Formats: sequence, C-alpha cells, structure tokens
Amino acid sequence: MNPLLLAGTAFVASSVEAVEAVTIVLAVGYTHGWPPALRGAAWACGALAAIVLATGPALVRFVPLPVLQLGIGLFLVLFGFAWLRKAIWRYAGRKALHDESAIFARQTLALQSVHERRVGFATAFNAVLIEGLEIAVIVITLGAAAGGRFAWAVLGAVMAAVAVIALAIVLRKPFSRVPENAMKFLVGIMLVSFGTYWSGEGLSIPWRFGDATVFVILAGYAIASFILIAFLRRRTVAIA
Amino acid sequence: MKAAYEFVAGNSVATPLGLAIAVIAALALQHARLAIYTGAVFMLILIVTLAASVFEKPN
Repeated sequence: MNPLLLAGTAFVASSVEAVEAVTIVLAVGYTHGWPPALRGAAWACGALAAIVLATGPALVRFVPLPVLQLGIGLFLVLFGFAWLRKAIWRYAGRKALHDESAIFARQTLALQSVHERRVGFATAFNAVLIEGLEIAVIVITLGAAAGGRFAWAVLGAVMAAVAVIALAIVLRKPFSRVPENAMKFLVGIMLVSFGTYWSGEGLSIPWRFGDATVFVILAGYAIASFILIAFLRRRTVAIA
Repeated sequence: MKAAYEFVAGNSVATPLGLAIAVIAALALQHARLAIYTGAVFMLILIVTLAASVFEKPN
C-alpha cells in the first residue's frame, strides 16, 4: 500500500475533525482565557496519543495480518459508510450543512454564562477528546491494516493538526469557509475504499490489479455516490 | 452500546446486513468455480449496501 496515500487519507480525515475541535477550543479561549483552553486541549492530545500507542502496535503484534485486515477492513467500511452517507445526504439537501460559525456562536454564548475555570478546561478537553477519538480510530485502523505503518498515519494526522492550528492562529476566528462536506465526502470514499480492499485481502480475494485495485474501488464508490446524490436531489425536489 | 454503534455506523441497519451478505458471498464464490468474479461481486454488494443505507431515514 502506497504510504503517501495512507498519510493523505489520515491528513484529510484528521483535518475535518481538527476543524471541529479547534472551533470549540477557540470559543473556550475567547470566553475563559487561553490557559484553561490550551491545557484542556493538551491533556486530551496526551490521552489520544496514549490510546494510539497502547492499542495500535499491540494489534499488529498479537493478531495475524489476514484476520486484522478482514476485521479492520469491515470496520472501515462500516465507519466510512456512516461518513459517506451523511455527506451524500448533505449534498442532496436532506441534512443541514455543518456551520462552524454557528457552533462557535452557540458555544461562546453557553460558556459566557458560566465563569468557573474548570468548565473551560473540561469543555476544551471533551471537545478535543471526542473529535480526536475519530482521528485515533482512523490512525490505528489505517496503520494496523497496512501492516504496522503507524508512522505514516500518525504523520498525516499530526500534519493536519499543525495545519489547522496554524490557520486558527493566523485567522483568529472559526473556519466558516472550509469545504467541510467535500472533505467528509472524500474521506468517506477513501475509508470505504481502503476497507473494501483490506477486507478483500483478509478474505483472500484475488484482486485483479493488485495494489492498484484501490483506485478502481475508489472510482466505483465515487461514481455510485454521484449517482445517488443526483437521484436523491431529484427526489427531494419532486417531494418539495 | 447504542452510543458506540452510533459512533461507528451511524445507527444504520442496512450496512451490517450488507457487509454480512458480501462476506458470505465472497466465501461461497471462492469455493465455487467463480473465484475470478469474487472481487467484482463483493464490490457490487457493497455498493448496493451503500445505496440501501442512503435510503434509510437520516438521524
């Protein structure tokens, strides 16, 4: 499996979640000050790193690769379908688009009524931990199914976090113009494509094009998704 | 348990069902003389599963 493709998938997936986490950390920072916001985020990052370090290498060490590929592949298809179908619903107008500015405004308003420092720390910690848990799951599954290439998956996730934090420092406001749904759509397709390929490997399916089959699978899901979006849009318009 | 399933699969019923059918079909085809089509059938069942899950009620 191409390590750059692995790192790229982790990068895009992590960027989406990092945007959501940083929005809430910004809200905490502006209402409760930066020390509790940054402390909460740092503790959550530490907890996430511990989860990845404790589970990832152990999975590769104790579970045979075909079993790992089948289990993780099926998990990624399940997990990726949830992302992909939400993105399809959003494109078809069946689910509201994520609005980071609205989330920031709502969170700021809620935090302004509470003045305890602990609340700021807890809010930042929870936001980074919950959003980061998805990143941890993606890093562990991608790294393990690729035969223990955690370094590439971690590199993609860390680069995404650095890029989003740098952007937040420069902009000093929530990311209202990030094409979040397009990114979620792309991540969904990448996750289910990897999942399909690896579960097939686990089942000893003779893929006709070897490693390059991932691109064929990717194209298949992309075409199917575009057809589904077009069909759902027409249905939504017809109902309205 | 419900929260974990919501986190992993977005509460879809069609997805785990489709996955189970795809795995059974892949295993069955490999033992028949149709092993060459296993990949295509596996992929096709998963695409149909995606379509079915999209037509589930959004939560």
